[in-house]
Amino acid sequence: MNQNDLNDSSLTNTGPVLVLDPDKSMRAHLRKLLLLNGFDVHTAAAPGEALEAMIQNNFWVILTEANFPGRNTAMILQRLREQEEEPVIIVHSNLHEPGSHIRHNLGKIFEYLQKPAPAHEIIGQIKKAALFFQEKHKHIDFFQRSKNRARHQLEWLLWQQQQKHFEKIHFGIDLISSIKHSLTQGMGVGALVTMIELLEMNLDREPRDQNKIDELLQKIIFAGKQVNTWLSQLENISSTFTKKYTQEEIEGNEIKKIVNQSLKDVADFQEFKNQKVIIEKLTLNRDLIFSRNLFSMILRELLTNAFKYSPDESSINIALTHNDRNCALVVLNDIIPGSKGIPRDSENYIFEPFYRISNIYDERYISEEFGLGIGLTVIRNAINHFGGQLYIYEVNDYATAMQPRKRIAAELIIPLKMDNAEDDQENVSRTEISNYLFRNDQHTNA
Amino acid sequence: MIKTILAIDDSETMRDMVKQTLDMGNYNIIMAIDGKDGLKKFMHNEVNLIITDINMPVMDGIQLIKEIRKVNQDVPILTLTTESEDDMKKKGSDAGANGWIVKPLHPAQLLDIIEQILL
Repeated sequence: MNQNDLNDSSLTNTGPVLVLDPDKSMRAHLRKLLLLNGFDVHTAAAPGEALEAMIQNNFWVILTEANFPGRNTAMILQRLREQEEEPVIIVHSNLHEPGSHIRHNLGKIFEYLQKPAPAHEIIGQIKKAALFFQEKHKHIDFFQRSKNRARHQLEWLLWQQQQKHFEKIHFGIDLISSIKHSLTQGMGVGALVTMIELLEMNLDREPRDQNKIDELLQKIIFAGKQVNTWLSQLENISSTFTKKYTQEEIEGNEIKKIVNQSLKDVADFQEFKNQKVIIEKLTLNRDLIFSRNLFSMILRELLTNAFKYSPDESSINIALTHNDRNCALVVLNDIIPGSKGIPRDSENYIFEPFYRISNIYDERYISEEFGLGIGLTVIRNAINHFGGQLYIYEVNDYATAMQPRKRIAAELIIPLKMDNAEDDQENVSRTEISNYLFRNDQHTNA
Repeated sequence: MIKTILAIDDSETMRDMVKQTLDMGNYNIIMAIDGKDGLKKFMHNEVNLIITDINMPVMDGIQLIKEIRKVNQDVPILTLTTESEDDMKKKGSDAGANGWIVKPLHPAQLLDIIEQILL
């Protein structure tokens, strides 16, 4: 390998690399070498420091010393590997042992480099490790995460079983609390009550301020209209429970039209924060088995949530993918800085009626179709009825920005029309595909 | 001397309601849109009473109260919130709130409370 190979600019898309080495001068040397070769490099002097850095970053590769006096090296490497993204480990050390024994003693490492390894060897192995990391994640992400999800689902079901006898009481309390919250928050029945009391107080005052009274009357009329909207919401939710959607064949090329119409329906919400919608090519050469009306309703809810829970001026991505049996439409949005996002242990709760991750209420969205903390419950039930599935979860988006960032993915999975009816019975599971989407053929709906 | 009240709420409607209420009581009013804005305004003004919402973006009411109590133990702080759960009230009290008022806002009641506090 020559100098040109070391400066290969294709490395700019490589994920972060962590150098763990107690030797200060070696750390500085490796840092400089990796930076010069286009890597995003972080350094740590001790295993604890490395683990701390791993909380903040999803490292693809860790280049580590294996000689930590008084510490169990195998245990340290095990801890480093145990992180969620399971970085690829390269040991750069001077253990004076044959390679096979080191591998045996240290567990699963990608490569052992005898210290001090030549620069080209270090760079070459890190490149290989980064490629391996990418490939590994393409292939095992789905299986690994599905396994984790299955475990979480099982824990959730067990928890629900344990909680069964409390459910009715909880449901009642949550219902009252949600309605009370909706009634009393900013622009709603609570504001109307306050305005009427203010009007009374102003009417009792001498001398009367007619301008003030007129102003309050105008506000009361406006608030009355908002309450009416809120009552329509209730009616809408109520009718959704009883509405019968027709299962029908939807041509793949209709999806784009349905998405665009849904976007128009919620265009007001998009304007509040001046957000941008980036639509991936929405073409599909297969037919779906679903309901057009339900599809539109789901999209309106997912888009409304994406606008509501993402920052001003941010982008919302929409993309479509499919396998042999299902298609997955993904809506991806940023997380408002300082907000919780969707912690993994909340993924199941968000579909529970009246569950709110945050009680922050943005009154601009009072006219949203559902609200009341029940929208996701309603649409997921309807989706399941048609053999589809809805997942909402946090992802690391590697594709839309130079640095991976946490985003929220809402993934709607809809069954495709199958030639053989028996094939329809297979369960649908989430694809985690949103980690790899949004690369090409985008157009913007600003 | 006219007393100054700092009122913090992320809802524009609520800010308007609180302002209209306080206008009737002849107070000097400073409004803020979230905890961070409220803290900044508190630092730059002589404030006699704070009325704050709890659920707000950027900095919530509990955090705001904690920040204010780091620099000022005396200024009375009232919360005006939809939250009525005991756990949340305890959080507010532990942070240093002096009173907890649950929405909807009743203007006459709020003016009575303020009058008692600022006597």
